[in-house]
Amino acid sequence: MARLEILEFPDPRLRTKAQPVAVVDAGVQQLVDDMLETMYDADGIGLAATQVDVHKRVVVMDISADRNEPRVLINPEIELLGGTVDSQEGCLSVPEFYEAVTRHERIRLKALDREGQPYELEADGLLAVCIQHECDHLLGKLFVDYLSGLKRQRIRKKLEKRHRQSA
Amino acid sequence: MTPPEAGPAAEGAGVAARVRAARVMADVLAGRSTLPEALARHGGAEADDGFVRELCFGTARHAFRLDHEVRRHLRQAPRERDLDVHALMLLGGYQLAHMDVPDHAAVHATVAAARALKKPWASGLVNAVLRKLSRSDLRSDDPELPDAVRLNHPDWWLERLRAHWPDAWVDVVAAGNARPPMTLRSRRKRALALAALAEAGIEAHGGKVTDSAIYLARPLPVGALPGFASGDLSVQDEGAQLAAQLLGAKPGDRILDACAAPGGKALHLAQMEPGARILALDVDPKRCARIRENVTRAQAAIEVKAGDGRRPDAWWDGVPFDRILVDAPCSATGILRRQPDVRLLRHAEDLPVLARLQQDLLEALWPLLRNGGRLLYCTCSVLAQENDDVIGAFLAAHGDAGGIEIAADWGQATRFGRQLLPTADAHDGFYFALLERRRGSR
Repeated sequence: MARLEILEFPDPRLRTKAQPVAVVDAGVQQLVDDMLETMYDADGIGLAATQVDVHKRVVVMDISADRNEPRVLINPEIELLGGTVDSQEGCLSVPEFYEAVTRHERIRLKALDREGQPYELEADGLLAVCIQHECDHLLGKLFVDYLSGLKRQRIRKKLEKRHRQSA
Repeated sequence: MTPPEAGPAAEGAGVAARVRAARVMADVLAGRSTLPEALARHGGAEADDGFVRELCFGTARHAFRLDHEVRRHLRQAPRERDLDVHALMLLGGYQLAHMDVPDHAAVHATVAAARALKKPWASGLVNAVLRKLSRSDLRSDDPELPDAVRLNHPDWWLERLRAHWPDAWVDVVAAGNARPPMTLRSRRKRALALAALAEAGIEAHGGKVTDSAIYLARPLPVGALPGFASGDLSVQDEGAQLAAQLLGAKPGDRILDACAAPGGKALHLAQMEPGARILALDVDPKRCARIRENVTRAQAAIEVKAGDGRRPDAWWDGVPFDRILVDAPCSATGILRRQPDVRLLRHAEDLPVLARLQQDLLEALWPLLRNGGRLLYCTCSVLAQENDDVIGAFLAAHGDAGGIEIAADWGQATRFGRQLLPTADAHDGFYFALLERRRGSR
């Protein structure tokens, strides 16, 4: 297993649209394992392949308090079931910033697991928010895109400054 | 996505401790105070004390290497007023490289501490630097590194160690970088004390240089030691236990311990010879309170006075002493493992100042010794400038001073005294010279 580098906003590679996975083979499973390690190491609850500069429709998540319920979402598709919810979101690619974002409250997910087996689930609460947040990444979209231009600009400036300082 | 509770609302566990540690280490990095002083100044939850201490002592121990590794990722040197942020990154590096804290927890709590220091601008920097540090080997013995960084000692210090101890300097450096054992002195026969410790389930063994020293396998709070409250056991390095033995004491002797704080050696003398009359002097009234504390606990008959050894007029009653102990202020280069902040606070320019102070103490105290009386000069230094050089100059200037050879199976004879070099797992480093006052001889 290996920890992968997480791209940080405003890195243009985060805007790449991911391609569907044709076959869940050993290479994809390796990617899943590396992404899980990277996510746990970074204290994240979700990570999309886009964030580690791999442009395949692969997401890993674990929203459990004990960090022992890894989820794998390959080729995820979301169906909206209604309602809206506001919550504070943060992102491993936008470290240290938390902003309120409005999401759909309930969704149905269809995806493949690590073995390539299809599954479905209905979600609400944090799980629903997280799935939407990660699936946005696969489309090249970030939570800051939901903010005002002013706020997004401020975050971009601060991050660019940090990147310069630690370069 | 990051967990919602990772926001500023949920800064909890370990953040306050890291904030405290950063403030402590910022004081030390700025040269404002010693580590024990800074720890005393920045109080906090008692439950955190042990962790804060471990963070600060460990970071001081590895300070040069950690500083080097952190600066590799900085574009500009830290500003004076942001030394707390710099300290936070050194502390973070220490946790990543040397502590059992999981990496993500160390990074997370340290970043949160940057915000808690009211420097939110620094949280991204701290995060970026620590994540880079977590990917590098902070412990490698890389020969490409500058010696000061690799060996965690300043260059001036290494230079002198190499010159003084060409065969042993590597061991002296290793000793200085080690974690010290907790060492006790037993007033009673050591076998009895060891038996009492064993009975209390405390693993310990005797030292080789003295018959009084006991090493604990693991450090413990003193309150947990059977015999500490009664004064049967005291905390004292084994090398330091040699001082009272070398000076000796007889019933009725008037003995001066001229730089006595915290009182360990005076107490040793009093316990060795309860019939001696001992005056424990220290220039710092606050440190005199420490001596009194120790003296009271052991119920020893020691007079404690605040006074400057260089100005006997202010405190001496005119009656000569039979024995004088001059445990002079020094560079502390022999006890670096116990005072790891010394590597940051001591500078080469301090050495002549200290040597001058040592000479002045000897000059001022020598006339207080009766004819035939003995003076033991000791330092916890391994540098000749504070040891043989001081004694050599003193002997040359005083016809009534004669050196007495210290015959021992520990340490090594120097021209005028005896040097015990520090070890990683046993005693600290000390220098001793024993002088006798002779009637106009020479």
